Amino acid sequence: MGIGDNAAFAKPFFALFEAGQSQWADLHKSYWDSGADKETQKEAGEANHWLSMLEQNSEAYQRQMIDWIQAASRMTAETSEAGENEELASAFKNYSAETTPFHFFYQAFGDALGQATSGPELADIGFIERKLLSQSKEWFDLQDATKNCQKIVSDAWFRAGQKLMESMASEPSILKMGPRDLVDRWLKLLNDELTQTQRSKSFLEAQRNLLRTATSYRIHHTSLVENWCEGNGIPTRSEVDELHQAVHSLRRELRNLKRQLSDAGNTPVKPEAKIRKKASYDKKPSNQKKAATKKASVVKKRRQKLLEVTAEWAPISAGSGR
Amino acid sequence: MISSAIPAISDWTDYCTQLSRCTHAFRQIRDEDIQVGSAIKTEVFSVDKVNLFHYNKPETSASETEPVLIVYGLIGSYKMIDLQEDRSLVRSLQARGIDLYVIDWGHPSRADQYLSFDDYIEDYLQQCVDYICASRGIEKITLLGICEGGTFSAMYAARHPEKVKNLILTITPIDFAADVEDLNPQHGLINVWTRNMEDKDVASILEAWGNLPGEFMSGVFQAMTPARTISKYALDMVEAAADEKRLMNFLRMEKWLADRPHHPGAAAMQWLVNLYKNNELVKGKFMLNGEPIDLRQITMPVLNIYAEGDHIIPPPCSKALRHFIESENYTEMALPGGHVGVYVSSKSQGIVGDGIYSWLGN
Repeated sequence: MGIGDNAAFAKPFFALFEAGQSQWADLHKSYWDSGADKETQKEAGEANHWLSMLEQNSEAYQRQMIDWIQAASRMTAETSEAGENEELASAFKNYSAETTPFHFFYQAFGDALGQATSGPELADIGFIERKLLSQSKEWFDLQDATKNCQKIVSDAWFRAGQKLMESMASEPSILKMGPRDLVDRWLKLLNDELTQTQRSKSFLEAQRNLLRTATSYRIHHTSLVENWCEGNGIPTRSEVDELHQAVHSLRRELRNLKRQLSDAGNTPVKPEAKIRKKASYDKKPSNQKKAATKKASVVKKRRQKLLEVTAEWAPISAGSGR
Repeated sequence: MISSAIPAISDWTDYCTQLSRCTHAFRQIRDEDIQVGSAIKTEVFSVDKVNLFHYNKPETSASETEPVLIVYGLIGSYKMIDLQEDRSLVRSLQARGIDLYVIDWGHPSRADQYLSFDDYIEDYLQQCVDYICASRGIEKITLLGICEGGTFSAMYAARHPEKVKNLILTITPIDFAADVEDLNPQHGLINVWTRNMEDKDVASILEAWGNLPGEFMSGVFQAMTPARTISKYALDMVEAAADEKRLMNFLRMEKWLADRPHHPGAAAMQWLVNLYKNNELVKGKFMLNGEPIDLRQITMPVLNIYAEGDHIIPPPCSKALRHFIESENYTEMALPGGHVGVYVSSKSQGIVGDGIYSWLGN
């Protein structure tokens, strides 16, 4: 269905078109007239083919515009007679809203990208293009979320402004306080209004959405950069993160081992040391003492093993220190 | 008409004069002139990026007490406790003869994103306490925790009560859901905003940045006081320029604010999800090294200091501690002013120093 097929749609559209074309034609007319005057003055008395051609073109163009305008007028008159005036206002409003550059860039284009990136993925083609489109979609989502959040905050500013006006109207003496006091009053009102707003359901929703889109955009951006890094043999953020995680786990294990070593060295060994000291006076140790000696031997072996592991990991720990 | 115009002209003239002074001052003052955390201290122990400092004993100090370890949080720099000579918790306590140590957690980078509460409490804090005890020949020390560092200290005290002689907490959140009891709508926005997020939102932030960026937290704090954020340079700073001392105070605070370390990711996840969102500490569900923290294990004397006008940690979140511990010696101290005001406001300087000193003496 074309634009002209819908009467409710067509009338405001052509009204707008008519006005625009009319102005454009006027503008061009004055330009050409002005040019013609100058040429006439400059080349006075001489036949000028170029000037004549320009004048003819200008006249033809203006006639064409007039035809357009007349045609548009006839169409709008017909839609008006059809009695669809009530629908025209809303239709025009919707149309105007949807034809603004803001809408086109942040919603219409964003929706189109969303459709393009949410379709089925193919294994062998369009991988990077899909990623790029997805990144663009994230950017549009972020702009949209920012706009929504800004709107809520702007409304709060507006309400604070209204409150200030009301207080000035009800208490004219405020104006005699001087600008500094007035600014303080304004800041107090603004702070109250903004902090109240920041607790409101609409703000919390917008804030959460803004946070989500911002982090999502960042994650997609990193993913895109990582693709480029992988292609060029450069370590990616994810790989470095994995390395850090491994170092962190190793450090933790090392400390746990050191702690176990320390515990193994302190807690059981202390009584063992006492036992050994006494044992040195006894040529024939009792069964209890034999068991203690055996236990000390096991502890000693365990400590030796832990020391070996610790020595193996010591360079890792030292290298990743401060 | 004329009468109303006179104050306007007068105010405008004043503002222009102050602006001119401010501009002049900015031409004179160099960044190195703005010093924070300048009390003399010695690094005595370090592990990874964590440094333990011992504040040197001033010549004028009175008799020395047993050591007190100051545990700051991961949000912001510990230098707030020594912002300037005449507004310094460190100097205030030192002047009363308190022997002080402080932990500097350093500036975590993305390489430190996997550090969790387990590492900070059960490892770094543990090692610092062990070092002090070993070097001083004592078995237990006094912990002075600040904000998130207070939560660290409370957790450590619950896990190792045998190593903590006294527990002093300042502006410390314990019950993260108690903000609802604070009727001031300007208080507790962090609690509201954090509960507004789903766990996956926090995870996404940390996936995107690795850590909780310092700049992110700066933005959060700015949003909590919107009018102040808007006016602080255009009005407060310009007005402060009328007095050099006041301007320097302002600039020191700015320097401290600008030095905001990143919060390690894994610890941020625990801080925001397990504590702020799920309030696991008071429910006995918060885990360290696989074991739950039981606040009832806090049996040592406790001094709990909070700020009545604290918009970041609403007073009920701090005061809740009394309901969850078994200590028979529990004292609360309410201070006027806001979160940072406890340490930097001229009003609270003497009150905090005297309060801590006399409580330790008792």
